[in-house]
Amino acid sequence: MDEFYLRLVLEGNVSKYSYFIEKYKGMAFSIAFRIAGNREEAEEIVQDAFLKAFRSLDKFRKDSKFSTWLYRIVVNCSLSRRRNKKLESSSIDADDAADSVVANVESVYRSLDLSDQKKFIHLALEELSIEDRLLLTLYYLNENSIDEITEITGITRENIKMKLHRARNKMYIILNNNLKLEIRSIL
Amino acid sequence: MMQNSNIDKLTKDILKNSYLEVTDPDFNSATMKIVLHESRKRRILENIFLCFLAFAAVDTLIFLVLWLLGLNVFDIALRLGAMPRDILIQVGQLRSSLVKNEGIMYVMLSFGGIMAILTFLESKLKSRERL
Repeated sequence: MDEFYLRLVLEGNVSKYSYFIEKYKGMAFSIAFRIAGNREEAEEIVQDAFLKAFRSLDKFRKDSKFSTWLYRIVVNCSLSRRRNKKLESSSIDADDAADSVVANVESVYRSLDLSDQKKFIHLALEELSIEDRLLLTLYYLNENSIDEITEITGITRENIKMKLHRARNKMYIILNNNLKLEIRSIL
Repeated sequence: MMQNSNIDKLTKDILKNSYLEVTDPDFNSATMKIVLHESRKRRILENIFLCFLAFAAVDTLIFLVLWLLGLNVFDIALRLGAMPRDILIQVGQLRSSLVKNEGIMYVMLSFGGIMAILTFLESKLKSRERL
């Protein structure tokens, strides 16, 4: 379907570009938000990314998916905006999150209602570094393959696997800590 | 021991809740507005370039016709150092030599204009089709 609309846009039917905006704005926004950290800036980044994608549409090589190509532009736009800002890094040592941590998170998390689940996952992601939350978003939320993430971020395959593992563990440790605090406050 | 694939599945479930929607209801139209503006800007530049090409082609054709008639305007300009005036003189002479055949004169002088108008109209029509 993407190819069909891509052809139409390249043939001069510019209004058909709205198909891509409608289809990918959500995921592009999620990625931009993970890096930018606020809604207004993320929306500007996504608009900017869509415009940049449109400008270089004729240079798009069809050896990758349109979405992969677009997300790479979103990541680049987001990172270039953040270049002057200090990049935060998480100090959590998370080479391995114990199984008990994951099991605890699973049981408590599942007992929460949807809005609380959303609140806790957003809080946990906020505590992670930009790179960690970007990788988690691409791999687990958008279900990109490791190869696609390599293309989007420019990080090597082996590095992605290692970083993903660490990011996932960090997320569980943060979730576990936050959920413990929540339970304590309820009790 | 919790299997890695199970943790992956759980992580996917958890992260599904981190999906964000654009809240601005005008986001699509605002983005399309920017894209269409960019597209228009690009088409205007293309049109200008096409017109320029058309004029260049017509000029070349005129020079070629003059050269076939034995008039090299560049040579004349270099020799006399006053290109516009001398070209006008030469064109005037050419006109008087061709005055017997008004058909040729008419075609030569209006060819440039017609070409430019046709190119402009064509690109204008294309622009409308695109939108």
